[in-house]
Amino acid sequence: MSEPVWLDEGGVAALALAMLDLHIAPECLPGVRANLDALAAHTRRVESEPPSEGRG
Amino acid sequence: MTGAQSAIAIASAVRAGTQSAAEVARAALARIQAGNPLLCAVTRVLGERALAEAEAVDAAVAAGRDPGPLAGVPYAVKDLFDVAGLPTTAGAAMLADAPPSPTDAEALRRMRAAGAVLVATCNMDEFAYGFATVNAAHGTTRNPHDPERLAGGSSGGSAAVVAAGMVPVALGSDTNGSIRVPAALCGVFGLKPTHASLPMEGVFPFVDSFDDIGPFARSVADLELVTQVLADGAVEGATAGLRVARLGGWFTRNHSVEVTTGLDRLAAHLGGLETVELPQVDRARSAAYLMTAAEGGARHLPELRRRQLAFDPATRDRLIAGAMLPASAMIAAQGFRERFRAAALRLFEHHDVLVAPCVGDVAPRIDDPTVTVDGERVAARAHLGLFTQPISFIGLPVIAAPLAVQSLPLGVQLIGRPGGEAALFALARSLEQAGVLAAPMPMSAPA
Repeated sequence: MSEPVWLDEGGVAALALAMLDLHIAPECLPGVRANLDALAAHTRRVESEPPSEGRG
Repeated sequence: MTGAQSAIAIASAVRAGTQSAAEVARAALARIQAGNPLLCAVTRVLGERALAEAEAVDAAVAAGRDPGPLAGVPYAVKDLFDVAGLPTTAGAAMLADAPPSPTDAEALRRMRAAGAVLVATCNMDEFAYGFATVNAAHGTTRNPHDPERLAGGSSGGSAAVVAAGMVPVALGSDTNGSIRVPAALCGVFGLKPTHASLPMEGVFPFVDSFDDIGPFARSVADLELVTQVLADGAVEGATAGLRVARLGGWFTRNHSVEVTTGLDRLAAHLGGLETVELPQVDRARSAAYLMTAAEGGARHLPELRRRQLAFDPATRDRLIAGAMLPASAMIAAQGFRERFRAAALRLFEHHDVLVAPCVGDVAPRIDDPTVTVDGERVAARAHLGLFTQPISFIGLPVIAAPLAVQSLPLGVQLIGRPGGEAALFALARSLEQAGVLAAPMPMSAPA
């Protein structure tokens, strides 16, 4: 059995982009980063409600 | 003939044969030619088509046929409606050389069948992703009431041409507030209809689950007339004994004293309004934000892969980030939407119309395109829809109406239950007659 391939955080992010088949041009990175920060804040707000239970 | 002439007055005169549609069209084209270099509201002037449509209307009148309820009424459309023979660009430079559309959008077909005359296409945020109408290819649309300020967006060009008196009516689209925000900032009426109630065929999509089209006008009567034409029938429903309430909580923060004063005056005219709460509005706005980003990003992913640098930078970076949003966030947002819609519908068991601000303040300056949210200065492009996003998120119909204020324009949302447009028009009509709502004419409007 071959050694497992450990991915650091950057490697995982690259893998996620590879799944999207998306390369981000360097000039886009600051804007994309700022927008990801905004989306993360909105995601936390949406997910802050505990999931409802007992529904089929 | 002036730029202030209403659609109803034009149609009446053209049908009676006292005014020719060609004369009306030529006057509208001249107003656009005179006013657009300053406002940057129009992207394409359709002179040849306009005169052909107008001459057809005049020929019908001469032959004793009725051209329809919008006979000879000049209008403009946001640059995302299909116009036969032209590429549909959705405000994107990368689509300027796209194949021409073979047909008109269904909304344009209905307008033409009613006798209306298409004179221009209008500026917008690229792919409708923004509340500013700041466009890298076409420039920034300026507010007719103060050209140093934004017109709002993304249907800013459509709102500006109506506010400036170039045309009496125009069409736009609204996903998160793109009709309501520019209507409020430019001081005109706008309708965001019940979701999916007006024809979307031939309209460049952004977020299918929120996208709607709707009209802009300077009076409630004109707004209703165009809505009837677009809906292919009368706007029907209960209009008497309306139960009106004011939305509290989220909708009482982040707006100016002038907005509060305008809303208080409206409430006082109605004999005082009960304040009701829509729960978790902040979460609704965030969920709308996420779904917009994810659906928009997914829609444009093929072109982001192929030629991302051809996008407007302000749109591109938002779309790339949206494409990367994990499914778990989208699923949480979708689940919350169902619960939020149910809570809103419970309010409509006791009320017919809910009143809320449309924008927090007057139009931001172009050299400082920001708004204040919870004490922080944030980008107007992403945040002017603070009060509109949570409402379109659940598909409710809204009339955005200009408050009669002494300041630059401010707007109010009259929000109805699904299919409740008739109640909204009835209330808006009575408030307009009482002088609580009014569309001001800019001082610089062309004669």
